[in-house]
Amino acid sequence: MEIKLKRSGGIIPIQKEATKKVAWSDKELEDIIAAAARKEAPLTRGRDETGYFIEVNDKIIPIDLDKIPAAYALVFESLKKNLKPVKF
Amino acid sequence: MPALIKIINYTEQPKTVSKSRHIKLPVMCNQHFNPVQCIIPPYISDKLTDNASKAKMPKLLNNELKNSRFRNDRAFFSKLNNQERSLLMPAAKAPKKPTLKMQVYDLKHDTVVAKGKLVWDASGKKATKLDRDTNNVIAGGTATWELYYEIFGRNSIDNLGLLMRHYIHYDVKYDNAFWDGRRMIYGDGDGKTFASFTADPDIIGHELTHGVTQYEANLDYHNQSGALNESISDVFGIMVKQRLLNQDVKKSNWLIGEKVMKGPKYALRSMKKPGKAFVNHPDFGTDPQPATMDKFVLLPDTEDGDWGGVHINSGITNFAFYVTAFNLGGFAWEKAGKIWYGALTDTAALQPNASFVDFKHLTISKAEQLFGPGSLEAKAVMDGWNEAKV
Repeated sequence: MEIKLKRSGGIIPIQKEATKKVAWSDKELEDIIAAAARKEAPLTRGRDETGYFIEVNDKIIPIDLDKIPAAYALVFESLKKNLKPVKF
Repeated sequence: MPALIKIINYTEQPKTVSKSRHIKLPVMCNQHFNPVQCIIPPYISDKLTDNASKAKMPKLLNNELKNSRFRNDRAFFSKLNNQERSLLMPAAKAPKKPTLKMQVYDLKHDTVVAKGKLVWDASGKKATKLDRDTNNVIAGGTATWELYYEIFGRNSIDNLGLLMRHYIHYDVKYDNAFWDGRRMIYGDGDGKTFASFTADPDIIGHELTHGVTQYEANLDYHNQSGALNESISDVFGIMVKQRLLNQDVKKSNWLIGEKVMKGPKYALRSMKKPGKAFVNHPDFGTDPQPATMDKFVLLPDTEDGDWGGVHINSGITNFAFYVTAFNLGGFAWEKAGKIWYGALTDTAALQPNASFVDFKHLTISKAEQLFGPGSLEAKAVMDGWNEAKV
């Protein structure tokens, strides 16, 4: 399957994306999402903050990169490193 | 001063005076004309009235005594010269002048703020060698505090002297700066398209102003109120830069983040020409900000949709401020800044979900309060909003 890591938000709201093909089972993906999914928090006091999302199977899920299970951390680190801006 | 002691005794024996409704305070100036010794000083008459109340003196008599005390106080003080006054009234302690409270922490590329190492403290502790980013946030943070204190009379973010904490070197090549609700956090940028986010004082002023807004109108971070929140941060951020560089409205280029975004033709935003901060940028394309309300950009109110375009539609209200300040001339903080600050801090009138039109009416009203109805300043504010088609 192909997963896309997205970053949005920031003082200038640039969208950044990186994609990668992975050989994960559906169960693995579920476990990753269960561990790292975060709730969008529109009422926080943070301003200009950025947020990460994974897009997979036409779904966009907000995630916390610090909570990715260790076995998959390298994949996400690589995706994060390769984020490219999407033009306005 | 035996005469004064006598007065105290007099009040301690109310029966001797209760026969008369007209209290005649003892005359003490028969022998001399020194006002310090003439009439009852206020600390004595305070005691006199206190004692009268404690003794449950008849109300009429008590009032008479109080009235007499006020008349005598006024007469007494009007006759004193400064030296005599200082003998009786030690000068009130001057309120302590607020001082900047600020710290800088180095995150050393971590993302956990608790791991930040204190490298600079305005109260004394300072590392021997400060890096460029530390110096940048010290300069920008100090300039922001000074703008708020010296121009608007505000003591720090909360107006109560809150310690301002800056965290630098967040994450690895992180191309952003943000206010997390309690502190400012800055990334180093990727070094290619973005320099360090400490490079521009207007960015530092922008983030600190998010804190000010949080403690004042606390504008909701969605849609128009969110765009107003963003715009207010740009408005005070640009004034921090202009004041630091001694730039009037004509000299300023009205660019936010001109050093942060690399390349001589690029900046994060232009308040003078929203939509032109970067054009055909190889990585980002063209600045999406509108300058006028008829070009308002509708975006979903989601994290992914910039909460309804708060960083996009802020171009409209930024432009209104620019036009107002430019037409007024001089330094932006002298008139336009004061009007905007008055609106931001009028928490009875500025609701968290305020629209652009609400803010327009409030700034016009503030201009009229500060400079008079029909004043040139009020007209300049109206013209600013009209140019932005709000």
